[in-house]
Amino acid sequence: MKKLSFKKGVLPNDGLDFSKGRALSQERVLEQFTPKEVLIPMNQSIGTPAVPIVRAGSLVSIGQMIGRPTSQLSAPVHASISGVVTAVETIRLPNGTDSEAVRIQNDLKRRMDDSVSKRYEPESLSPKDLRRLLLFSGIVGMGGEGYPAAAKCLRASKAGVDTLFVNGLQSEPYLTCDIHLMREHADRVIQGAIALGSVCKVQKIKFCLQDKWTQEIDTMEGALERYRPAYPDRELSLLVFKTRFPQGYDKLLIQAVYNIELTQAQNPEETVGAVIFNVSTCAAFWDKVEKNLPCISRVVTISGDSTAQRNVLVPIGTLVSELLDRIPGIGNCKRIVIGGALMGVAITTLNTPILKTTQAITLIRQENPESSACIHCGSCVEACPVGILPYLCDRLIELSDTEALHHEHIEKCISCGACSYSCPSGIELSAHITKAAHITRAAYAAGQTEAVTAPLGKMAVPTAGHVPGKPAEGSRI
Amino acid sequence: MIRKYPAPHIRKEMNSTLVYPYVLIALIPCATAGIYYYGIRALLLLVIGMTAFVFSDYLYIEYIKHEKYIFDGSALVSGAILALILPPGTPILYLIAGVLFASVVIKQSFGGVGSNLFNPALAARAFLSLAFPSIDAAYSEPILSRWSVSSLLYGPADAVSSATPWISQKENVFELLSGRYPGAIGTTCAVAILLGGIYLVRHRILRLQAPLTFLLVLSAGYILGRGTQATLFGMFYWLFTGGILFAAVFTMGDYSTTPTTKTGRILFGAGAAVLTILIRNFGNASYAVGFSILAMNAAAPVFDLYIRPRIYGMPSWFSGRASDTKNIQKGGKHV
Repeated sequence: MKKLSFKKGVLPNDGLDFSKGRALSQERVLEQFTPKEVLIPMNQSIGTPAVPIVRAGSLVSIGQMIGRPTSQLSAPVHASISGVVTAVETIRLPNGTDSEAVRIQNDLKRRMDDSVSKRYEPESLSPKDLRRLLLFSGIVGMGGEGYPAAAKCLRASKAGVDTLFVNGLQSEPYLTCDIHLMREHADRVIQGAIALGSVCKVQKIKFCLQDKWTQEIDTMEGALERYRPAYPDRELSLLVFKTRFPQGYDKLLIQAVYNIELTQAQNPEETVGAVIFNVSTCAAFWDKVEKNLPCISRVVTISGDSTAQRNVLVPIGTLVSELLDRIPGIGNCKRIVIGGALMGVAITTLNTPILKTTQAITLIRQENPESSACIHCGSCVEACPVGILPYLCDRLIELSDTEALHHEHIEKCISCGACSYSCPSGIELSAHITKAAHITRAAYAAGQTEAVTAPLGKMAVPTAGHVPGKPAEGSRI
Repeated sequence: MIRKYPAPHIRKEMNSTLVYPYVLIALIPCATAGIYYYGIRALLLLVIGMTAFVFSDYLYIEYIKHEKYIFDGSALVSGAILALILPPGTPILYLIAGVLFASVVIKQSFGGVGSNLFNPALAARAFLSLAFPSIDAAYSEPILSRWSVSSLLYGPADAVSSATPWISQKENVFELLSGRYPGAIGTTCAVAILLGGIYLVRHRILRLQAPLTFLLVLSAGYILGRGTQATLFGMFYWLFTGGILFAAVFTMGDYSTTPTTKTGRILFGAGAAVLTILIRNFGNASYAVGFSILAMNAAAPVFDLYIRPRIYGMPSWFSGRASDTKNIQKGGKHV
């Protein structure tokens, strides 16, 4: 089978992938997690945040809507446990944005909301019904992108797409939640993808996997074989990609398949007629279709270089502190990262909830190396998937030269971290460039072409790395 | 326990401070061959070259720049390479002059490790052969007087006046591979050099674009020049003598003096090969390969400026950014 790939990137395999190899034999069963308390933020997607419709003291049950969407580009939020709302407060999310959040005390009664008890026959649902279900499910791009799935489907069917890509390319080291879903719950993923396909009115559904997951490729092939007779009008196929980072970034996926490069303003739906959904998104949609469960839980990988690999089914809003308390062998990790080891955000407080877009909690023991002088080896140039020169940009940032940075197309940076990862001198290239790209993007946002003397200042190590949706829209790696 | 960290949170295991120890290990076969052929004299030159380079770097950084000296092995590598490309009869004082030139003028005044424009060892070799042309006559027969004490003080007694061994033609494959013919200390033994090169490639330190292009273009040049008279032995003779193989393995893999892109490095190797051919056939310099690599070193920033990866979504690398190359130059390598 032909293996697809974008150009460049890095192969993070220097002894870092041990957790993935072990994961295959160890974690078979998906662990369920029941928290004592959840903190559900209203702002979990791109677009406008939801508005809380419960107050302190309200009694809520599983699946009950507690946040109402405010626009088309917004997703409803549902209670993930049953219990009493203790507070509606403002918290700061790992990506630096403030959001209202509903704190719910668990009464451990597992009361289901009335809306959940109503079941549908999946076969009898028309695309219109499915779209309505999707709209009320609160599903957002669960690969980290956070684009409301209903809005994406609307955009896709307006553009008249013909292909749906199910993105299972988890190219970050340590992340296995999507891989796990495909291995253990291939049926849910495939049926969810077919249902999403009906909403978007596509004929071709392609599942994307990296070539190192040979067992999962076999599982998916077998499962697809079973579904092909049932859906003769659909073209179900499997695409195998080379194992590289950041293969899962959706623009690079499009580049690998169509050899077309999308600009910042273009989206895959209108340009190539393809819509991309994450594996977790598909599985979550099938939960909605089959069991009428909205997006109230997700699979989270807990891994890192200091702990065993495990995938846990976690209700949305579970606090990281509570989750980690029950995981043995956390040990002496130096930092706790929300997301993968390459693009995740290291959190400073453990009172951070799991969001719909949180793929993993990565526990890192190793310290970043001391940085030394750049030796001009060109590793960063070879790693950068968008072709900017990170070492040169770093030098320009030191000189605070916004105009030159603009000429170097620093705005194209997708904050994948491949440059920092490959730098033998341990320079925080990605952190510096992400921050400078932010400033440059803002300075040139209004279409200005003249010199802007935005004070870059001495770019010390920035506060947070990747802000989902902001520096790089559609990052789902 | 929890601190703010920027992403990414893991790093490749390769560390720049590890590069130089690997190169040092790769130099061991060449040094051993050199010591085998030229005895204590070679050992003395090696030791003095390396220690003098470390001292010079240390003194410059601590007392002129007033910074903390971080020992990373780069000084040892440059010192060792310089000693290995010198003829065995080089006077010690000349060697120290070369080391000072390499360390102070070529390395530290350009900004230290990673910022030097020229390869320090090659630049020092070129400086010595321009300033003291007599060293180009300081070659000697190998093995003959390797353990005599007088050679330690005054250099080998049996100097060979024909400085550049690549002129002579004798079809002895064993001599060609083992390096048992007059030449610089460490550059004659092809087997040792190749061993070091394989070690570097296996540890992903030597990138093959520049060296391979260099050797390929040189071979092509030989075949074109000789026409029907070209022989396989002649070609390898042309490639293995005159320090070409050594320069290809140990100086073309240098990170700071070669271009950062693959295409740039390929052009770098091709350019160095063309210059070597020109200097060997029409020029008069004794160390043709050194001068040609130095010339390409000077051109490396230009390669970096004009040969770049294409920006994602742009038709070619210069679209949208060639409008003002001054801005690019400002951020260039050697500001």
